[in-house]
Amino acid sequence: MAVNAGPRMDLERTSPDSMILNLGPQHPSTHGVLRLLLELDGEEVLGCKADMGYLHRGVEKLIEAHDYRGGITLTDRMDYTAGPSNNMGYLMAIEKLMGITDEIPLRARYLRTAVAELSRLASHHIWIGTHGLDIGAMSAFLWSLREREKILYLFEEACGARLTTSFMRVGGTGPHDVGDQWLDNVEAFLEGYALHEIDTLLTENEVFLERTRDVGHITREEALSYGLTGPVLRGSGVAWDLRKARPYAAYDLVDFELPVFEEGDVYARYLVRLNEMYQSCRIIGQCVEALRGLPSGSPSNAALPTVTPPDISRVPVDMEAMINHFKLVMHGVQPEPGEAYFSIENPKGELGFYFVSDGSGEPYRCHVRSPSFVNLAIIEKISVGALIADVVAIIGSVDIVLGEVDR
Amino acid sequence: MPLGSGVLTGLKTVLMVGRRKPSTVMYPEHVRDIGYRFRGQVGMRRDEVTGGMTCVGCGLCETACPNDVIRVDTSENADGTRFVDRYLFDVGRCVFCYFCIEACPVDALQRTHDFHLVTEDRRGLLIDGQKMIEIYENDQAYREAEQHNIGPGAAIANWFERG
Repeated sequence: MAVNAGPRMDLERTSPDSMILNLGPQHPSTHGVLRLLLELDGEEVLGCKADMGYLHRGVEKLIEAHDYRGGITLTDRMDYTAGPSNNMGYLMAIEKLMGITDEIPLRARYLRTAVAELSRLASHHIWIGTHGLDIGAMSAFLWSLREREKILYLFEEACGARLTTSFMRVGGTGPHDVGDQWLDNVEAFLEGYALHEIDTLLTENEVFLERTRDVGHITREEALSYGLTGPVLRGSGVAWDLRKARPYAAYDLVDFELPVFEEGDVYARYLVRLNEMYQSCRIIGQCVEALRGLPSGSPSNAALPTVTPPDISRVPVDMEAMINHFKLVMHGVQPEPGEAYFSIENPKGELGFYFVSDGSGEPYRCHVRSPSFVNLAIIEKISVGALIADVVAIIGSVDIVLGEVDR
Repeated sequence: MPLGSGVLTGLKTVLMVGRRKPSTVMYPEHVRDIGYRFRGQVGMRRDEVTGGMTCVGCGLCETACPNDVIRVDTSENADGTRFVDRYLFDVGRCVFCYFCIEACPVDALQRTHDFHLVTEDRRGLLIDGQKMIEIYENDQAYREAEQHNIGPGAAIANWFERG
């Protein structure tokens, strides 16, 4: 019987005796609403085709329909496991478009870096938990969510929301500057951070090794030709990380190492992410120290009337401040006509934003280069020849978030 | 290393962690501390002179809102001054970004810690300014936090066990 998959999704059979299996979009191990069409010969996968679009919300068009400020609320709904990091990529693209990248104060840069690394930890915890769960490790999932909960609590304290953070604003951190108490809490979090527990559960576990080693192999050439980024690329032996290659925020001021593994299998990608998490802790620690070292009262927003609204207490009494405030709320930031592309190293890979401005308060065109969408393509390639159980491990190791794939 | 030693290491960790006290909170009997900056339902401050809304009807919140949550209808008095006829807030559409509170020039819109937004009827989510005043004034959690003037981070100071 033919698979009712629509004309787009016809899988060219390699053998007349093969069976077509739908993995997803409801299957929990596909990490959301990803649908994989698998052509099977017994347990072996002969062909694989990924179908996405079930979570499409038209974020790019929505950003074009809002002013630049309104888009902030949409970006943390793309890769919802790392909201603040998405906010940062979006805002730094606008800052590049406006040419104010150099005006961002040091305090904002350090705070952005710390928060982006915290969100990297949160995102990788979702990955390590669900990846382990797919392969049969239940404790790792529960402990991951326990650690992630602490990070979300830190986000809540700093900006008021756990997932949909809307953390930063153009020109700095907006109203969400933090005090010493929050920095104390981050240090307490780092001190009690129990990643090593999850590490001992999985890294040397024979069952885990058996399921992940020599599975889903990506060669260096494949990784480059598929345009993979992030831990998937570094797991195939390419030392490419935007934090090192094109440092943004405060990444040129902190010291960290780049974990790179040559093997290119699921286990190598696991090791890359695990080591990245230890490095993230180092970065956060350095940022907290640097934030403490800054003179008190140092600003966290650029001193530019075109992007930063005046102190709200001055608005009812000072005519200039009131005009400035009303202008900024009514029209938002208004970049000069032009275009800009800026990308950051999101937990999942290179997250890029492309803007075209026509000089008004709304972007004329916005395009998002989302890492999950690009990385997803490799699943079709490396699933062929694997077993069904391996496909589950492969999906977990590529670490996609469907909110970002479909946007 | 002998086969199975990796599994045993993990098992040792599991037994060690199992002796700790659970990190779950039994909601709703126990509610964990809410951070001072928590973004709950938007409230409205009562004007001390008139006893009504503090809102002056400038409409900045309406403009700042990315989701068309707020609608402010205004009219003019005979002497040309503006007043608010009706202030409508659709909680069902709100994303709690607080851009409206950042935009408000007279501090009329206020942060609350109210997150119990469940109703049996969707129409109950469409609230007016008077209801927003009630929400703001009934929000004890925020009132207490405001009274002690605690900044970001104070509520969870003892939440992370050290070591």
